[in-house]
Amino acid sequence: MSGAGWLAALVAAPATTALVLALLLALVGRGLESLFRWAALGVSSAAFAVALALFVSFDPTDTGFQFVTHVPWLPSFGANLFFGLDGIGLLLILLTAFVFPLIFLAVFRSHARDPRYVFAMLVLETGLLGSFASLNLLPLQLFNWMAWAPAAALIGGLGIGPRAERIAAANRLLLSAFTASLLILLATLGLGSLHADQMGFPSLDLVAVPGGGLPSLLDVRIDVPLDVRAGDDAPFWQQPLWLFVAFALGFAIQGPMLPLHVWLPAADRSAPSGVDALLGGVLAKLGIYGFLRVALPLFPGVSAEAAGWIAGLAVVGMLYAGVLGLLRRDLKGIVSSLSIVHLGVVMLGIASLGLEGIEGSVLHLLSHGLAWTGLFLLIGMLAERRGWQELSEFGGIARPMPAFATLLGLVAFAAMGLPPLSGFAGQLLVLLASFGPWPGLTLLATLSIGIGAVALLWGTRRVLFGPVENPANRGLIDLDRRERAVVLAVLVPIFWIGLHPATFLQRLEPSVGELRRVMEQRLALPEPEGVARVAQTVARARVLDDEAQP
Amino acid sequence: MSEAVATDWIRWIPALPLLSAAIHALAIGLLRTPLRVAAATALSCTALGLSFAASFALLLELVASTRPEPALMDDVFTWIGAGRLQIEATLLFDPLAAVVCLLATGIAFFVTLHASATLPADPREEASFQRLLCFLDLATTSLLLLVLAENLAVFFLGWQLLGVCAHLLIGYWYLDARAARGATRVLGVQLIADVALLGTLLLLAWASSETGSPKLGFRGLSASAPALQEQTLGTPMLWSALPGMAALGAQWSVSNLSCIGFVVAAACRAAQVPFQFFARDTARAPAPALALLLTTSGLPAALILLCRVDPLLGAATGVLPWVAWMGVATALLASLAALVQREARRNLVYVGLVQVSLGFVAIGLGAPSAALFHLVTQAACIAVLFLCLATVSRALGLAPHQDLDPTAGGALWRSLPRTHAVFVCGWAAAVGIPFTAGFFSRDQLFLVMALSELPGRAVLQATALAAQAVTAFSITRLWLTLFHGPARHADATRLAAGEGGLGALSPLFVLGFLALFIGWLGPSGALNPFPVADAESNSLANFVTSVLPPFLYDVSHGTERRLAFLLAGVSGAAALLAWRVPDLGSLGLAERLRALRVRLFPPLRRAARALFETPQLIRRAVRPTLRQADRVLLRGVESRVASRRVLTGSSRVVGRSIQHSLRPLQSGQAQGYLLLMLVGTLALLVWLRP
Repeated sequence: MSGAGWLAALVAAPATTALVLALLLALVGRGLESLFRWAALGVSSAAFAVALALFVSFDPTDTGFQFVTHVPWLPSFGANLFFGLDGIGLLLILLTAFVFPLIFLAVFRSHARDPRYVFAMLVLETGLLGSFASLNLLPLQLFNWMAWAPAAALIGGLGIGPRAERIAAANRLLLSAFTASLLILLATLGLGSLHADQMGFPSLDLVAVPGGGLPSLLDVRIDVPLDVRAGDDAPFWQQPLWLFVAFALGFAIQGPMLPLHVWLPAADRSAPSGVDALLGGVLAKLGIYGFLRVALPLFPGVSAEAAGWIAGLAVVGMLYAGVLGLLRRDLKGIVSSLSIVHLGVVMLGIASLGLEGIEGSVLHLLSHGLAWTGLFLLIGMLAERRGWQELSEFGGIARPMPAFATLLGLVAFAAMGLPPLSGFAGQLLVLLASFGPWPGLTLLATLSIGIGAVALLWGTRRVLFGPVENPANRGLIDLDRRERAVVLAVLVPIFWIGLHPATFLQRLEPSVGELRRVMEQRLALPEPEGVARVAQTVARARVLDDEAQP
Repeated sequence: MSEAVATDWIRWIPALPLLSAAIHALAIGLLRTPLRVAAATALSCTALGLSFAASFALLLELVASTRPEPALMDDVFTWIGAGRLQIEATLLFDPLAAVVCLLATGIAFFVTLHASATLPADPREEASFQRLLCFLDLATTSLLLLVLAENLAVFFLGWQLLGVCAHLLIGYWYLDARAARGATRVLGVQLIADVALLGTLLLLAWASSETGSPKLGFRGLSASAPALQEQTLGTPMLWSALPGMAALGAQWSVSNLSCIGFVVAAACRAAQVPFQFFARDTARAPAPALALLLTTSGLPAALILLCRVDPLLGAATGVLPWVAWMGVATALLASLAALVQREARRNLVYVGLVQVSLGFVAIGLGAPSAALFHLVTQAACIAVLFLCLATVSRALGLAPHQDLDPTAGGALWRSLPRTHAVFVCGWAAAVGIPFTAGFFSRDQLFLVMALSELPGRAVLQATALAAQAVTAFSITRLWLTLFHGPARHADATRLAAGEGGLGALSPLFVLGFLALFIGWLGPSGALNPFPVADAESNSLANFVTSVLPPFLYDVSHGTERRLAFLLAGVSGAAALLAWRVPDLGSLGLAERLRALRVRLFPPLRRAARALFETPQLIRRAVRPTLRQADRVLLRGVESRVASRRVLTGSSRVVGRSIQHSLRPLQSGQAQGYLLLMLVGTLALLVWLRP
């Protein structure tokens, strides 16, 4: 099988397994718990192996998309099953595929026994993998929903805390995801109609198929500088500003950026073990990925003009979340707040629009995913022993659980961005890139990172150190081999990225360079040439259409 | 600037202690089979010894070099490379690095050896000797990385790791609430230092990238300093947005701004005013850790930072005087705090802080080589004093974590004669008795002060002299109370056995010897009984002259000698005062002194507590703010506005608008949501079918 085939298989395998398991359950009835958890572990591990193979076989010198599959699906809507990877998608796919087997292993003796959990998680995995691999806007949205809906179901159905509270959290998540999807869908329809107007046929492909495919959205003259407003006579849904605003708002909700972050704390608080790791570690990256994949290349002009606002909003969000972290009374809340701080770092890097900034952002996304997965899994392991408690219930845990304390300390240091762990390199690149355009904001961002680190430090100290005053903490059992193996597996890439980020930056640089080239090209495209190019592509498309008709 | 000679050996200097730390961590953390004390000690000592040997071998190569700026360089790998930014993991072995590497590995070796004789019997349940060794090795590695760093990014790596190590060492007895709080507080303050240093790194990278790719190397700093002084930065966006700020918004020199960043970072790391409060928390660490934190791998790292960026500090305007005043203020406060301490280790912590602060004064007056010389002489002296205290604690039957009240000793010179002799060596160097190590370095420091043209020089000099005299008084009192006077402990026989074997004594002897004689590495021409031809400046300063500019002065030998002996006389008088206070009765002064002490000490102690336990200050300022923020942010914005009004409200609107049709599915049951998802997807597919 070719690389493209492997990528499609990687995306499809988890959901297919889930469906087969569900069918089996329907046929056989009860008693398949063991099969479910082993199948989940097996298929997610196999998916990771495939993702790793794709990572290794990825050609870092190629600036285009690799492992491409393009199957027409709904031509009248311009929707195609179009999968492919560049350096950015590759790293996020690798992260997603890496996280799932670890989650299944971490909850192997608890949630993984529940078929509903396994089913929803496998669907969620396909949703995430599909979102990061899709190069067509409509399947991308559908895959997004395949991720959000099971996450909400898991929170509402199997979450933590009183039923009313977790259902409220699930509703909040669904409502936010629905709003985001609606905005993105409207903007997608606007883009599709624009493509149809200019090219004579609709297409929602984000890039052209390598090797001379049909014109994609990149070939459409969507974006013009705001002061030119060439398209002012066009309906508002075809104007770049409104299209960008709809996309940006949708992605900012998924991001989650202040003040649209409200779904994350409640969802994190109520999410069962593993799902919280996904929410903080991977799911929240869908919005940021949307900015990189859709907003920047399609709307370079508006993006450049909105960059200052996005950076400002990101930094205000970082400060706000940092202070919130200081006020939280539970470790999960602190970690969740700190997550928003670091997602702000990522947005700051993207807003810089520079090569170093975007590369740093993607590297930081990877690091953030790993560190937060580790943190939430460790918190879940503690909760399995002690229940979900406020900080005041803990203290001196390091005595009965030394391995837990060591691993939590290391992962927390990675989350804070201490070198030589994973958080440092990406953070440094982002801050270096944003210092030029916004020195004051960058210093505030640095301060926010410091505030977030203090909050996490305070929280971990309250849990790990001090006298063991609560008798319930005295008899706690330390992490067993399986649990230690899970966290150690997270620590390996954390150290790797910290010590040798070049492994990942090498694969990122050509893709980010290409993204920047596309942005610059689209910005610099003079109007007559652009019109001529559009006319050429339209003519080409018509010829192809004519050939296709019998 | 001449090119450095390439070599592959420098990496082994930090790698060996790092390897040792990793093995310790693996043994206790993962395999859960701690090594025996002897094996663990052997592992650490071998790594540190080999690291010392590697440093020494490279030092010989450096000395043999005929280049005007001798330096060796090891390009390990490209650490971070993206776009125009290429950060190399490059290590630089220049004279400054050579001195500090030898000092750090040497002292860490003896501290580890001594710890193996005094600490394994720690009765606290959280104590683990191998964990301590792991942290000590990691702290040494961090310092080595920091001093060997060729660029600011690698330096930052060592700097942050060192902060983490200080946190780990201070929180070694983590079940003790005070130690746990102290460790967190220390790391919190270190984070301020990190933010300041990172901000400065960003500024310098940005400034250099204006003319090409960002440069963070130390070697180019002296060449680029004038350009950085010329380069300016507009007022930051947020500042200029504030009313009235635009009027103030002069263009800021990059050089000045970066120097402010460096000074803030160094002040945080070295517990200088106004960050002096965490010095007290430092005393929670075990004695061997204190011996390291106060001499090489903790507070003095700040001096190394300022030495590294000295070209920039020299080019900046108006920053250095602040450094000098900050140093002297901290020295005075720390000496007064040492005076009123009732615990021996804490007393020594403040004595160590005084010495580091005097180093700041030297740097502030433009004489970094004098600061380095003082760092070298005081390292051996302070380390040996801490190790002696550890031996005394053990001999008195105290657990390592217990406070050592000096008044619990007395007459220990009889039962611990060898420890006492070594303590006297350390004491002599700390007080500055002529021809001991401290005498030579203090002569340099006070000569720098005497010759400086700083406005208010007389006040600065008098304050430093007062700090030195008070320190001499308090350390002498500590020595006398602990080792002399009537015995206030029970069992003299047990004490005799308490000095330990060769493992405990040999480090004391070596460090005691160094405390006496390491100053002979570089006495100035005027004080050197064996003058050499070019000895206007001391030989250590000559050695590091390619990195740190020598302090040039034109003073006759007679004047310099008079100044040196005057200084020694003041310190000696203070020590004599501490010694002879009981005999002042015949002069009718004893009662008056006692009355003065009764009147003076309680307010002084309260003041010291207020200044060095700033948590009170912080609590008063920060807690109400946080509480207010809690009310506004968490309960107001997050809960009421975001959760209830926006989400719950819109949720209701959606719920009503669809006429309860989907409400049965909103049961929180996974099946319901899955069914909804399936039906929705199918409907969409049917609707979208081609």
